[in-house]
Amino acid sequence: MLSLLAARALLDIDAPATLAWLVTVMAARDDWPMSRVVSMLREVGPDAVTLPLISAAEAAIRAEGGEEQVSRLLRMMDTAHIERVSPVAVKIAREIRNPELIAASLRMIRDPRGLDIVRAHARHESWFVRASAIQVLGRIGDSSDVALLTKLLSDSHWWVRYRSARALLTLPDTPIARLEQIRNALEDRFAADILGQAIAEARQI
Amino acid sequence: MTVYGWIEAAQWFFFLYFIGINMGYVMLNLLSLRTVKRYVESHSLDDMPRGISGFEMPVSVLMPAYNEEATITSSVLSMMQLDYPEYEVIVINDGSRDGTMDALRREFDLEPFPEAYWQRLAVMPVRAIYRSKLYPMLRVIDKENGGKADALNAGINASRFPLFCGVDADSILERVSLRRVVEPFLEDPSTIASGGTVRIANGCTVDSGFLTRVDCPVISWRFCKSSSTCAPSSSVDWDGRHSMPSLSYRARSAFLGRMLWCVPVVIERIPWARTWNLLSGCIAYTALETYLIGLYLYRIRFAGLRLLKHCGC
Repeated sequence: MLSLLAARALLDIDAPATLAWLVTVMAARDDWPMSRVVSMLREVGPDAVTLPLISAAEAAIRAEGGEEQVSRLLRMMDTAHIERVSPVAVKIAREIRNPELIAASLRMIRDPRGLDIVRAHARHESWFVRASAIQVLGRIGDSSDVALLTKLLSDSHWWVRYRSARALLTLPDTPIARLEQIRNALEDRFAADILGQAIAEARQI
Repeated sequence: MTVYGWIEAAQWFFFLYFIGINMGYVMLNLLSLRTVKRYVESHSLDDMPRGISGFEMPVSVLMPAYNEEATITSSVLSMMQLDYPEYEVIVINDGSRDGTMDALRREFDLEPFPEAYWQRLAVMPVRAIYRSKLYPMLRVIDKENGGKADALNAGINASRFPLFCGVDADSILERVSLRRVVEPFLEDPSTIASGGTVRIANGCTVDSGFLTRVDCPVISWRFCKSSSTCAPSSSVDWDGRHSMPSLSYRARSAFLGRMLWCVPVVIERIPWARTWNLLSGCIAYTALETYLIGLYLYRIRFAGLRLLKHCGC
């Protein structure tokens, strides 16, 4: 508790001077509640925290056994400018093998230059990595992803099917009329049902 | 043995039972002292930015309802007004024989929804799933009667979020309840469940789901009887031992649990499961998980959720 209060005091005194060091401490101290850490960083603001977080994340990726720190840093990156940390997230998605870290890093990707790794992870063996990758595809993908997402409507996991259906709705050039056509052409009943649900949700909104 | 001997033996039995159960309570309280100390210390963080910071996990609020026509509308309305960033409310009509379903249809403008229902857990047949035109986050599952555990399972099947909160359909939550009950999950990722305190709503004025006036209930023998089970209670957690969940008996009407892989197994194996059983099962299976793959110990925490409950008197 004392250390956390001291960290807060340091940020109050001179945030720009202490953040570079403090962010590495925050990543290492797993006894500091992440919600408190994130709140402190939010108070400082994204302009100040973005660069220190990027530097700390790149160092943690290179470090031996730095996965735990990468995990905490990814959560802290919620407080940074998301477009600026996106390239680091792409790097983590490429270089780290831990599925949970991959899923967490995919969440931060906003940069179409990471589309190749996102598409690759849409076929990952872990369902939650597939689901995360599909969500990103819905955000930054293009019309060439329709075939992949349509195929994933028949995935064995409900969440992957649901995310695929939702992603299809948000892709460019996929109006509901076209999705209805895709749905009518589907032979898999589960795939047709989940796409029907997503279309109904979209109509309600 | 003479009658006098039997009476004496019974006296000794009850006396030893009394001693044993109270020794157990004393031991539990002693074991919880460490956690109480940590809880008191954590108040030194109260002047820091709150842990609630847009970092909260989305929550599925599950409300099993059986013959709750009188209270269902105000209870659901109170759920619609919770102060929480992202949540959904799933009311499970467990084959009610009164007008529960009609009241829901009328008040919330329900329409059938073509949901691809994922039957993770075996439950009694689902007749239909509805979605409210007025509140997009509200869904209603109409199913055949199968008991509270079966209704909760049906709700879990339809839930979309990583945390679920089981609330009785005759209860009203304070607006900040979800924020407070989620706090332990934010403070400590190893938390698997947290619960709150039940208070009596009888005598209070509830308007459109809001508690507008707190007052004493009319005293009657029925109130006295029910207050013994609904009285405000407090509890402390006893973490890391997996023997006894900290959620008190009285806190079981509302609790928040993490969606664990173990839950389906637990619920399937304990078909009569109420919250207590569910929690015990979760602990047992997470303990097994801890043992098998070397994960850290999970915790169950008591959070500051306050819940108002109609006592039926």
